[in-house]
Order: sequence, then structure tokens, then C-alpha cells
Amino acid sequence: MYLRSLQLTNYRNFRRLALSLDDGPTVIQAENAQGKTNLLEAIELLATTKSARASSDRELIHWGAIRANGDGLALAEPFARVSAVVAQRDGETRAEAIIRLIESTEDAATPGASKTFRINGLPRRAVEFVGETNVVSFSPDDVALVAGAPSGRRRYLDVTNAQMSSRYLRTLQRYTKVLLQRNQLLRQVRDRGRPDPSLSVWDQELATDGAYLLHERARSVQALTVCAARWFQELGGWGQKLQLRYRPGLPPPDAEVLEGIPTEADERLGKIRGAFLRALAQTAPREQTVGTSLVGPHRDDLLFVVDDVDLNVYGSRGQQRLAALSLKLAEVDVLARRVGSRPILLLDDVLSELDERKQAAVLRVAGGGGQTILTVTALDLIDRRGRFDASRYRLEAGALNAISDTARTPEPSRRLA
Amino acid sequence: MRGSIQPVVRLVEAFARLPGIGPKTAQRLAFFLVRAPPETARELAEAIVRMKEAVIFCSSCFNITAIDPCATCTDPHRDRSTICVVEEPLDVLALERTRGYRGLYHVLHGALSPMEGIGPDDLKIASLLERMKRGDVHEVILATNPNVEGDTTAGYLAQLLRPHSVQVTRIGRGLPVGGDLEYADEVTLAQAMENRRAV
Ligand SMILES: [Zn+2]
Repeated sequence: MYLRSLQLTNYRNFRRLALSLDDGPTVIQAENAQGKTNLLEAIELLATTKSARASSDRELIHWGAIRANGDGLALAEPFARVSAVVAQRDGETRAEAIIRLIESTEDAATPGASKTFRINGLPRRAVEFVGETNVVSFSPDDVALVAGAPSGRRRYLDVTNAQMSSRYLRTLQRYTKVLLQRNQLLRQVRDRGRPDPSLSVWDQELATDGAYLLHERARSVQALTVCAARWFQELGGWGQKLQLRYRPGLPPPDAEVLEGIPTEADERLGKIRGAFLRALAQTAPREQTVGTSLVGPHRDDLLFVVDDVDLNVYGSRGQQRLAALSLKLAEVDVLARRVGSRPILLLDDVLSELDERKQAAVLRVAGGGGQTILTVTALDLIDRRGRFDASRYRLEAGALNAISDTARTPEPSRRLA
Repeated sequence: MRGSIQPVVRLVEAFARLPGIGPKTAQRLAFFLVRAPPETARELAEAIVRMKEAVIFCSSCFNITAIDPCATCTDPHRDRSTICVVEEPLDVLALERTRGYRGLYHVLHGALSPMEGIGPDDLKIASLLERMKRGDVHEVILATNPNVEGDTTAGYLAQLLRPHSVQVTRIGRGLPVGGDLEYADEVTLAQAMENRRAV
């Protein structure tokens, strides 16, 4: 799949932006703080319905749009819109995300924002919108996937699995609600000092949804680790083997059910659910003392291991960065296989941190078929080994301009190299 | 000044205690009534008091009614061997609109939700189990909402009903997941009742 066009209205630093794209690499060159990360974030929003960077969706709306409204001028309604035509094998769809400002209301003292989504003009719930556009993005910040806290890795597993299956996203949302309710009930049990007869039904609900999440996460890690190891080898080439190890949030004896080659899904789900319930029974006294749920996918982790060394603790910055990049490239492979078409690859300013060998490998992926949108601070980063074949744009102060063919002057000798 | 505004403050506080009404809306409603003609205020006040006098809960099914037991519970044409358990009186109305169901009802007045402080003792569950003792009930249909709280409540009831010799069924798929029964259209609701399955 690929985006044929992208339009932004009042999104971050863009008042208006329209861009035509093709099913290949596009390079966007910009100095820092011109909005190249915002541009990629907008595309990611279409895939995941969320911004990974914004602490409030309000930040996504151009400040001018908000201020114009505050003065009672120009805009009837402060909003931002991201709109794209997504080309798939079976046709085209228009995907839209609209972010509206909500003035301080009733119970929320601080003003917020609401997001709505549309496919071909018809409203869709977020859970039905995810999966229409598949995106894998990589930026220097993603080193935190390996170097940072487990919550980031759980979020990563969720975003990846949600793109592959709408059932995963629905189950995740349900699990999250059950978890909140169950935690509240555990707090009440702790504070009142007596058991609640309904706790066991909440256990059942938690185990049913949780088993599915554990199963899907284990399955995706199994697929990812094979491809990630290959990429790590190809990019690093030190003969080191990267391994992803899934650490489910169940105590060790119960977690064993998630190891090995998956058996038939239904049978395995039943087994995982059984293990989950056993773990709940075992931790019940402790849960009721601390007043919160201690087992389940909300306690999962994912380890990046090279030669039996956990990169989170002992990895060098270079290894951590390489493992994160390998994971993302593996995700492209796995998503392509599961969904049936290669996802859109977004690479935000990743070349400057890599050595020449890795730069070349990344450019091979970017130019190897499928849509890749690549931002760079300087064009010589992509043209080191001869001119990289891509559509090229220069982004400055929220405006995009094509870098025309006549403007470039490649040296013939470099071209041969 | 302080003395004359006191009744308004009291009204604002009364409104703010209603579900879904925050302090701002409460103020808006109160000042609407301050400016409104006296009839408007009197009509509203009387409607509330009349409703409170006229409407009671049926001592058997806990639906709202004017007489106790309610017309449904005493209707000789209804099938007394089936009880459909719902969360709210509005759900009874929704199911009655389908015209397909001829059994009796039981209104729980809510669903299990620790976050809202609703536990088993806050629902009409004991009275449902009491009705089982009569022995003429063959099937209990659990028609709580198809969301986390409704599903959990259904699971809890199924557990409690197991020792009683009744068939327990859960309203079928087809309802919008996460939604409310009262908003489902008649055809969908009738289908969901048809497609109920044993739990
Ligand atoms: Zn009745």
C-alpha cells in the first residue's frame, strides 16, 4: 500500500500542505525545526490514530488556528485535518483524521481536543480506522525501545499487533477497561479488609482477554525475532546474533505455556487462559494486600539479547540503536506478510547517526520497492554512493518545494562509483 | 444580597447532584429558572413530585410501575417460566418494542462496576435468587449490556444461578459490542434474543 497524496490543514506548523506521492522513495530535506518530524507524525496518526509525541492532542492544532478563534476572527472552528488517499491493490480509499479543539467544559477544566476519523467521508470509530493505513516508522528516539522502560516495549507490541488485527485492538481496549475495574475492586478489598464475591468473575474476564493478548504478542515476537536477527546481521555484520525474547507477565511456571511453536490457536488460548487463572489464584493474597493486579500482559516485557547479553542493561548505544532499527525493519517484513502488502516506511533523520555501511543498507531498503518517506538534514547523506533515485523535496518554514531535476548537478565520476 | 441568593445556590447544588450534570450546567439550569416565569418552575417542581408519588418499583421484578405488582408480572398471558434479566427499566421498554418476548423481567438497576462503587449488594440480585425458589422458572435470559460491566454481571449471575435447576442463557451476538441495549434497534434486539446461547 502507499499514499498517493497527503493533505495537512492546520496541523502543527503547517497551515496548508498538499503533497503527491508515488509508490517508491521520497526524500524530504530540511534543516532542524522546519517540521519534518511533524509531517511524518501526521502520516503515523493515520495509521495508529495516536501521536506518540504529543502529550495532548491539542498540540496537533496549529497555534494560529487556535488564536484566530480566540479573537473571534477567521476560523469558525479551530481544527486540524490530516487527509490522505491510500492506494491498495483493490483500489483507493480516502482516510481522514480531524482534530477539534474542545473549549473548557463541564467536568474538564482544561481545554482538550477530540479526534474523529473518516474513510471515504464516512465516520469510523478509531478501532475500525486502524489497519486502513499501515505504517512502520523509525527515528533516532526509537533507541528508547531497547534502552528505555518496559512500558515503551509494550506500547510497541500493541501498535504493531493492532495494525495487523482489529481483534487485537478491540481486545486490548476491553482488557484495559477490565484491568481498571479489577484494580479498583482490589483496592476496595484491601481497604475494607474483606473479600468480594464478584472478584472471581473479574478474574475470568481478565484472563479471557489477557490470554488472547499474550498469545498474539508471543506470536508476533516469534515472527519478528527471525527477521530482526537477519537485519541485525546484515546491518552490523559482526557475526552477532540478535534474539528477541518475549517475557510474559506471568510467573515463570505459568509463562511456559507461551514458549515453543504455537499449537492450534483455540487450544493454545485455552491453555494460556488456564495458566493465567492459576497465576491469579497464586498471587491473590498479594494482590489483595497491595490492591492492584500483579499478573497479565500489562506486566510483559521484551528482551533484546545478543550473545546472552541483555542490551537494555549491557548494550552499547550503537548496539541498542542497531537492535531498534533491526526490529523496525523486521516489522516491515512481518506486517507485509500478515497484511498482504508492504507497509509505508517512515525514516526520520536516521542516516546521520549511522556509519556508511549501515546508511547504504538503509538506502537499499528504502529504494527496494514500496513507499518510503525519508527525511534528511542534508542531501549528501543519501548521495554518497551515487545519486539515490527518489522524489525530492525541500521543506522550509512549513512549505514544501520539489527539488527540480535541473537544479541537481551530479558529478559523472561519482555517478559511476 | 447574600441572603437572597441562598435559594439559588441550593438549587444549583441540587442540580449538580444529578447524573451527567456538572457545576456549569447546574448553574445554567438554575439561572434559567431564575429568569423563567413562575409557571415554568411550578410545572417542573410538580412534575418531579407527581412522578415520585406515582411511580414505584414492582416488588417482584423491580421495574417501575404505578401498581405493585406490575402489570407484566400479573398478566396471565405471559410465560411465567422465563425471566429476562436487564440492567435498567429502559431495557424492558426496548425489549417490549420487539414484541417477540412473552416472558417476565427482572431489573437489576445497574451493573457491577467497582469504579462507580457498584458491587453485588447494590443490585437487585438477592431478589432474583429469591424468585428462583418458586420453582416454576425454567430459563433465565441474561440480557445485560454487551460491554465489560454487563458481561461481568452476566458472568456473576450465571455463577450464582448454577445451583438452581434453571437453564441460563446469554443474549446473543449481533448487538453492537460495547453498546447499550436500549439503543439497539428492534430487529437487532429480536435477533439477539433469538440467538441466545447457554452459559
Ligand atoms: Zn413486575
